[in-house]
Amino acid sequence: VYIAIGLYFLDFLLAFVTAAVYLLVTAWLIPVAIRRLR
Amino acid sequence: MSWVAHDMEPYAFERHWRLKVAFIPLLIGSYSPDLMTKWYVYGIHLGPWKLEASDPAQFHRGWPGVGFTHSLLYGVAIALVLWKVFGSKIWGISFLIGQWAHALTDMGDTVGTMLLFPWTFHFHLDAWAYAGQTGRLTDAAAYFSGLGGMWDLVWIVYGFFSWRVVTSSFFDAYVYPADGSWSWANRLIPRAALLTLYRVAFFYGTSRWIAWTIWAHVMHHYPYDLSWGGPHWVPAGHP
Repeated sequence: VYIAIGLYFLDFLLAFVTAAVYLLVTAWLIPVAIRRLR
Repeated sequence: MSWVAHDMEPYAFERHWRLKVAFIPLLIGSYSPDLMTKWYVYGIHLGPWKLEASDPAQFHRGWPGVGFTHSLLYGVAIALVLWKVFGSKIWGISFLIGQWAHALTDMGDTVGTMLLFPWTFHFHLDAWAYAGQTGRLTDAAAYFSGLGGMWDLVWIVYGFFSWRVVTSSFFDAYVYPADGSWSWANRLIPRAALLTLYRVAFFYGTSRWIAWTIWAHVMHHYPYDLSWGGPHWVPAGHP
């Protein structure tokens, strides 16, 4: 998904911070939220 | 210049040196030579104005310019500050390793680095074309069409062979205990989030190598040229 977004918005590919936020949201925040909802 | 090697090299060092290095300064060191300067190499638009270096290669790697950030002495100077002023030997050594890896890796292109600054001689292997002066997109297309992109691929493959360095157990056994910064951060941020942050550069490097390769060769059909010094369809910068 990150790669697909990056190919559409190239600036998305260029910043380490963007990658960090993306990974924090998808690999940590969303799983935590799902676990709490269950 | 290199695009992905600087993301992946710190994980290779982690694999081999484990408790002897701290990951955060290792990564900062690996990024440090370009950290404050790359935007000016490519230029940015601020309203009607464009801020950019008149001679990007000279600014980026030369003297006068900020090329000293790619020298061995720069790494030593910052490492000494971290060690003697801030009192962390492991941060100093780790920064030094990361910064030296960057300076040595960037020797691979046609502009090279002033490794032994204040001696302003550029050490360059000429393996791939330096194309920072052509702008961000052409630079990306050229880089991912030549040996620079292949050199990055070596680091990615090595990273995947070293996949254990991004596991939770490796993080707990070596990365976290080697550097007190993690436990300090853990007072504010859960451990799972810290583990995610530790993995970012690995994810970032690998993902953008794939993305830029697709962009250059599937979406835009830039020709591959894996000859020494290539791709020759771009005007290479020289010192």
